[in-house]
Amino acid sequence: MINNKKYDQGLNDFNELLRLNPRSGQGYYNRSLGYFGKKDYDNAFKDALHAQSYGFQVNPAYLQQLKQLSGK
Amino acid sequence: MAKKKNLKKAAPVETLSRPMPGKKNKPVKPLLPSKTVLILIFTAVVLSGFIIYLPSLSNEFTNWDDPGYITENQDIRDWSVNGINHLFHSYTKGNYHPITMLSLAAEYHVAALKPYMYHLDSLLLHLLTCLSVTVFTWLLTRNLAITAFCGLLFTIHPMHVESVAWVSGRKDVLYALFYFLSLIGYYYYCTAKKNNILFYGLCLIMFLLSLLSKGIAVTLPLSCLLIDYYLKRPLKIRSLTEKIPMLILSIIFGIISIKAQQSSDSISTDQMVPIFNRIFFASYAFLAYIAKFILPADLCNFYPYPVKPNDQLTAIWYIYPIIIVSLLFVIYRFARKNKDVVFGFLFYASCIFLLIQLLPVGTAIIAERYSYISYFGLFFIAGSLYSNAMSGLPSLGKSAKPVISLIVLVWFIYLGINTNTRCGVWKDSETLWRDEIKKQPELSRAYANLGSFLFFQEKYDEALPELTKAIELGPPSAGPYSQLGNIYEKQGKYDLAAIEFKKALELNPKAPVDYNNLGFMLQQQGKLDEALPYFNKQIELNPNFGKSYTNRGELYRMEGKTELAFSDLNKAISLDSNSIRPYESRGILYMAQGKYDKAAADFDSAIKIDPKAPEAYNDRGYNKTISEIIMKRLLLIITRLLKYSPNLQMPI
Repeated sequence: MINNKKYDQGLNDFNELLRLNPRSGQGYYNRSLGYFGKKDYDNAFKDALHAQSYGFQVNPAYLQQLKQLSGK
Repeated sequence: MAKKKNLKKAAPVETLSRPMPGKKNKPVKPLLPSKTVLILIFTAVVLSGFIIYLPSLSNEFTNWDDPGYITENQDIRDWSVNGINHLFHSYTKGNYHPITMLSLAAEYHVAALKPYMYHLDSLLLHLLTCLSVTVFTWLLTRNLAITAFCGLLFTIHPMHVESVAWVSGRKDVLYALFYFLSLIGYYYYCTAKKNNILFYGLCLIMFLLSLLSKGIAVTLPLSCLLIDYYLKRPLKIRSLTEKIPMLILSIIFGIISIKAQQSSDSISTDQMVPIFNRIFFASYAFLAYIAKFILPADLCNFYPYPVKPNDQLTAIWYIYPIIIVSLLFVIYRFARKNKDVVFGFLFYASCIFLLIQLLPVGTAIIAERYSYISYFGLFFIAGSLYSNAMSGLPSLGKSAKPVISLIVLVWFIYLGINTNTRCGVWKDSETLWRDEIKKQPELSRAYANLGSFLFFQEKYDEALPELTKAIELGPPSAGPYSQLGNIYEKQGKYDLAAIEFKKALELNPKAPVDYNNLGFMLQQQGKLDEALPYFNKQIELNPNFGKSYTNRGELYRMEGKTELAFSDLNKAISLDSNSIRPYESRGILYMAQGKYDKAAADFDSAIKIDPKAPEAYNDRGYNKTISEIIMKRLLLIITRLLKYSPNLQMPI
């Protein structure tokens, strides 16, 4: 069983960040990393796409990996 | 709103027009007893003053001197014995006026930076001053017309707005209050049958307080001499020796004032006025104040010299001294027996002569606040003329008196409305400088100050043309360039910003902030090597400025000089523990070293300081996430995934 406490704390911060600045590509990208850590690949993939749509450069390999892991 | 005042004012006028006491003829039978009229005058002063100045209570601070006195002044924030002691041992903006600073410190202690409190106090002090003026005039003259004129005009004259509605004008209302209290003390000293020495002590103490509120109170011994004259005290050796303690105080504070002025650059160096020209400028100023007393039109907060101070003067300037000589002649020829006129005129002249730029201070030729006490002399003359017209001019015919009274009434209403309007001009920096621009469209600093204010309001597009205009009008000054740089910085145009900061530094090579700004712009453009010397210079000029250590620390961090970076950031935090950037930056350094707990503590501090800073949440969240990812050895996967994309903004 994974201890998710730190990831959750991180996610909370990113949620707050995105509430303050809803167009932060970096915010979405970082949250994606958090979800990735929690093995929540669905949300990680969604956030990576968001990050990209706000102009943040996301590595295509990372996206590809997430796409596979999330099974989409 | 002026209505109420005029109703009240009408009372003393009517009283006087019937029995007309003159000054010595005992009134036949006054319509109202003097006591009642006096109470009416007091009521009128308080009511009219309060009603007319009501708009000033909702005013803000301005960016004209208020930052140096209040909003950015650290000295007034220390309400401890040490802090107060410090106020008595330091200059503020080229002045030594610790009592004024003490009053501001007290307000800060109670209300922090809420402008309402400061404006309310200024207004109350103004009203107290007006009441003291009324009492003093009554004691001296026992003439209701003069008393009413002095009391009411002092209250409602628009030239007084600057001193009341501008918080930095506090020194005027304060020193005037003590000044007139001192004169009241002096009056009792001269006339009381016993306890004279007590009154003399009161006079001296009030004089000292006045001097400690504004150095220009040094003219008080002259005012006392005038009281001697007015009371017809025989001129003996004693009447001079008794003034020696006052003179000593005057001399001490005169020297302190000059030293204080020299400590700042307000004794003008950029435009030395030739002595010959000064006579004409002084004559102009002397007359301009009189003109503004009668017709206070086109008032503004800053009156630049109408010509360049060292230009060849045109013929019109030669007229002003001639007018003054003629004025003196007229007074000598026709009014030298009229002690009201002589007293009033000399009171005005003695209070204003230090302020009419014979000794050039600053770059304004006249300033409304300088009229605050000196106008008392002119009010006095006006009251006396009115009183005489009502009593002693039967030759004018019966209809003349009501006509004169009506004119006076209209004039009072005009003054009241004008004052009320001027309070609105002092609302905030924008209203103030827009009004100034309307009246002095060639005045560079008005545009510069407006632009600066708009910048702080984050109205960058509006600020830009004002600053450009300020630069265009000249003379060249660093301020607007620096401000333009700030705007470009906010707009992300770092290259343009760097150019402006460089220009600002050319004009004023001693501005630490501009070194910092320029360095920061170069750093933002990735020119790290170029940036470093500017940060060094800024730290050299101002070793206690936290922000420049932060910037240099970040520079070192970007260059990979970890130890230097830590040292600067620690210093920055120790100097300014309320800024989040050094915490952020140090947190990132810790994170890079794998010290996630220490990093977390710094990010916590940052969020505690500013719970609305997105970047702080980003960094803290990232710190938690990445530390966990590394713990779980997921990093290998991630770095493998990410190694092809060097542009990703990973703090590690």
